[in-house]
Amino acid sequence: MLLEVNNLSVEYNIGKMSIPVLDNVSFAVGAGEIVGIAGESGCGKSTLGLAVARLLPETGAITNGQVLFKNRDLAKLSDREMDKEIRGNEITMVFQNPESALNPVFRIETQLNDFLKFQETDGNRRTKQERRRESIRLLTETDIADVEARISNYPFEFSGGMKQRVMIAMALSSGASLLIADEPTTALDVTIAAQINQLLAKLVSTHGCSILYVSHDLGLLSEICDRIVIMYAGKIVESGTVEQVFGDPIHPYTKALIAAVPGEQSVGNRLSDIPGQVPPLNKRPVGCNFAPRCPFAFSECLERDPDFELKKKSHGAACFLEKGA
Amino acid sequence: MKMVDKGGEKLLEIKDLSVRFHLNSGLIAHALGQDLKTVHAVDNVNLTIMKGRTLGLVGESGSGKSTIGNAIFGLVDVHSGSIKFNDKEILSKGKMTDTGFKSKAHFIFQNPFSCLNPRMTAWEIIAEPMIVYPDADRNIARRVAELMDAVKLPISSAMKFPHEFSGGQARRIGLARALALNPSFIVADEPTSGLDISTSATILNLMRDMQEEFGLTYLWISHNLDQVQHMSDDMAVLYLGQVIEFGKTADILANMQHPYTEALVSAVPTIGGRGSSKKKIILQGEIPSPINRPTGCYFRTRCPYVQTNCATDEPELGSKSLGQLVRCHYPL
Amino acid sequence: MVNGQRKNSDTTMVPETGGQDKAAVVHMPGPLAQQWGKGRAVMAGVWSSPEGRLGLCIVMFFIGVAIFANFVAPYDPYEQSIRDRFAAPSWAHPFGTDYLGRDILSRMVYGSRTSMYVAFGTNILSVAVGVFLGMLAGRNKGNAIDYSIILMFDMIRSFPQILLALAIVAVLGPSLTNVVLALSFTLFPFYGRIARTQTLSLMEAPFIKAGQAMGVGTMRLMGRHIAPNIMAPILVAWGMEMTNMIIYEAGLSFLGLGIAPPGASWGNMLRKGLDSIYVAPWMIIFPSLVLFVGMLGFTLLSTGLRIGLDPHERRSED
Repeated sequence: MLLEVNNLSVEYNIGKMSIPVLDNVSFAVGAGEIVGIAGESGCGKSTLGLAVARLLPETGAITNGQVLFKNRDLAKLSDREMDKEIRGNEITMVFQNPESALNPVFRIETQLNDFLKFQETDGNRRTKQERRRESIRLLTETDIADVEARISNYPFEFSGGMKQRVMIAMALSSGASLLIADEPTTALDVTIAAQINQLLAKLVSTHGCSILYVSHDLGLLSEICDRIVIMYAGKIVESGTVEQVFGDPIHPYTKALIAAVPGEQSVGNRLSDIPGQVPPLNKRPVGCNFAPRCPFAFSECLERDPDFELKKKSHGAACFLEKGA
Repeated sequence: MKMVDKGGEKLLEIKDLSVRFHLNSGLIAHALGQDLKTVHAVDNVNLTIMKGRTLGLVGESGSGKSTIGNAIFGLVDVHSGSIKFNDKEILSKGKMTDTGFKSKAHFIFQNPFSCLNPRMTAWEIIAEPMIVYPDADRNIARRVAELMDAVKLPISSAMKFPHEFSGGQARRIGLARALALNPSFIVADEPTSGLDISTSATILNLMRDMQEEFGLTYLWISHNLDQVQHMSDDMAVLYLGQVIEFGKTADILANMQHPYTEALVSAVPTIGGRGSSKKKIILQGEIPSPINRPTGCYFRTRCPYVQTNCATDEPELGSKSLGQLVRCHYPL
Repeated sequence: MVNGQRKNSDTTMVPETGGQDKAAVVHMPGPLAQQWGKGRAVMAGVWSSPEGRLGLCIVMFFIGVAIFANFVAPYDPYEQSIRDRFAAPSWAHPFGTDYLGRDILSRMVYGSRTSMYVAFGTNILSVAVGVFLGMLAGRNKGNAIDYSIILMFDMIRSFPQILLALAIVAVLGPSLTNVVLALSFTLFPFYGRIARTQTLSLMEAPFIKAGQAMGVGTMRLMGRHIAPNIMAPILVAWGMEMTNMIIYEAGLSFLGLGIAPPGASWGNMLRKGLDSIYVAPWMIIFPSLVLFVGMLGFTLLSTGLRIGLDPHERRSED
């Protein structure tokens, strides 16, 4: 397994309060796999992505668990070690906002040049021309049209989709084995998003890297991912392959979520909505987090918090129901 | 070309609407000799919305769908064209005339929070339309309570400020405000933007209930095809300011005639895929700039079925099958 | 619980629903009760921050002194005593006496009337006129109204403030009210410019467009939507301008165009004290100190008001 997250817990410390944002999260990503992390706002999916890359804000801290990347526990590494060896080399991130990695006052070629220079070690310094050639090669690989001319543009002259391609190109340039993508296409138009997602899938097959894809869009995840993890209020409630989780969901929350998405099947009918609200993270109920809103809850659900259990081969959920909802 | 009129009443009729934005129109640009750049945001659009139905307006960036909504409410100046509400013209020389249209129609904006004055309480926000159009027989407090009830907002939260609400609740405040004057027509611009799946579902259900209970007509502007499929009876697909396909939603989705519609539908990811018979079409290239639109058919730069005359002849809206309009030389 | 006045007769009783306790009945306050509740909430907001508290206390103190000058001042401010002139601070005269033997403390107490009148009068008038015109200009961006208002602002601001005020008072005749009018005339473009810039950026805000889409008229749009949301920088400016106006009044009074001697104002005591600084430094030290405290008070109060008016800071009763 390329990445193995075991019993990860993360807390945010704000003033005197400490809020548990991730609670005992465990999952794995294999080589060449695309694993989706799905959930609604506040479930902790973005925090999970940040925690793996050790990019949590100052107020956040890993309080428990391991993040085993190629058998090294990232949670135990210092920030400096993460910087030198892991981030930008082995693990890279692509964010939702296409502007996030680009400085608006420098040309694209300058930024790519700096980026490539940063990756070089003393042993293999390249010339500016070599780096330019490499930049062009990378941008061509990410399907940017007319690269030779456009490489000297400023970021504002690039569309959202093109900026994301630059981000992806930068992520690729390091030869990283894990790409953490946090809603990379949410801010893009539908047809452009389709292009970008197709690009990501292509890169997995040509480069053999893996992607940890964080998104709230279930349809997108079902089309692009191999396996998927559903999160609710900081915990994993279900995980398995895409066919398993969407074809035969076990956890009531997963079922409810799927039924809440409009589409062909819902025309003319009401959508199934989930009554109640997500519990605030610092005031979670005793017992199962989802029990107050669950149509199948029974007495045990209100007393004990169910652990994650594999119900079928590689398909499991954190629920007391034996055979699922 | 007219849609077959099934005897329903026409509520809103948009004819040959064009909206243009001029860049570089200031004095300094003029002095520097810069060319006047014109954004053709909406280009000769014709739409008819029948009473009690929902028309979905679908498109991506630059399609002009939001601009149409803005134009209906006089928030942008109209270059040419007419908009008739209940057979009465509401535009005059490109600006909105005061025909009381705004008391019978309402515009719901995209972001649930930013369309609410952060310094007004929920009560005041909902009551505002009733203050702008006063009615001596009305008890405002009672009506506000009724409206909050209709959108399922707890009345005890009436004195809170917008930032104290969740996204879904803020959206409901906007909906309650929309219903205040018993409108007959509501334009909703991405009403579930920024909301979670489950919250969206609740809002969609609520808006459907509202439509049934109050006999509303909706113009539903969205880039989310699934939502439009779920909510709308009729659909218009826009590309770079033009309507490129128009008809009943079910008809269009069963039988897509324009290559862009086909690509758009194919690009929208659904759980479990969208029927194995439809292949996945990924368009190449970017959406062209609305300032510099391609010659001939605007879609030709990305069309998988492009032919030579697509670059020279501009296609008109035509009808290949009954009740469906498409703007293409070679509809599918 | 709902924020509002129980005894106010314009409440309406409505059943509480929304899926919660159906038996509960809730008071829905009418518009008047809401404004009253809001006023109280603003005050509570001001009080909640340390700056607001201190600032409010200082300003209220000075206003109190100004109103109850008769009771506070130990001596008659005009009472001269040549025998006691230039007396250093003592138990009898805590701030000392000036060149005519008048008690400085008493003069400061009565002087607060003049200074408060000028400071508040000028600023209230300038803010009212300036903000109104600024909003009007911003609302009508690009057309004749906007251009003419900006032109007016710029023309007035191109004159040195004190000279312009001088000229106006010279024409209108020396009196405190004329000083207020003159200074307001020089000050309102300052607020107006701020208001216009703020309005311009606010016009793009969705809630303003929502108001326009609902048919909200210009007056209501400006008063109810634009004004409350542009007040923050205006309040900051106000804090500084209060003391400025006191000092300008001093300049005018010194030239005989403001309050005539033997009238007392902080500003003119400063001027007079400057002349005798080597002989009786307390003549300038104490007025300066008081002015300093006043300035502090106004600045803190403006900060407190800004916090109090910010809905994010205010908590609704729950």
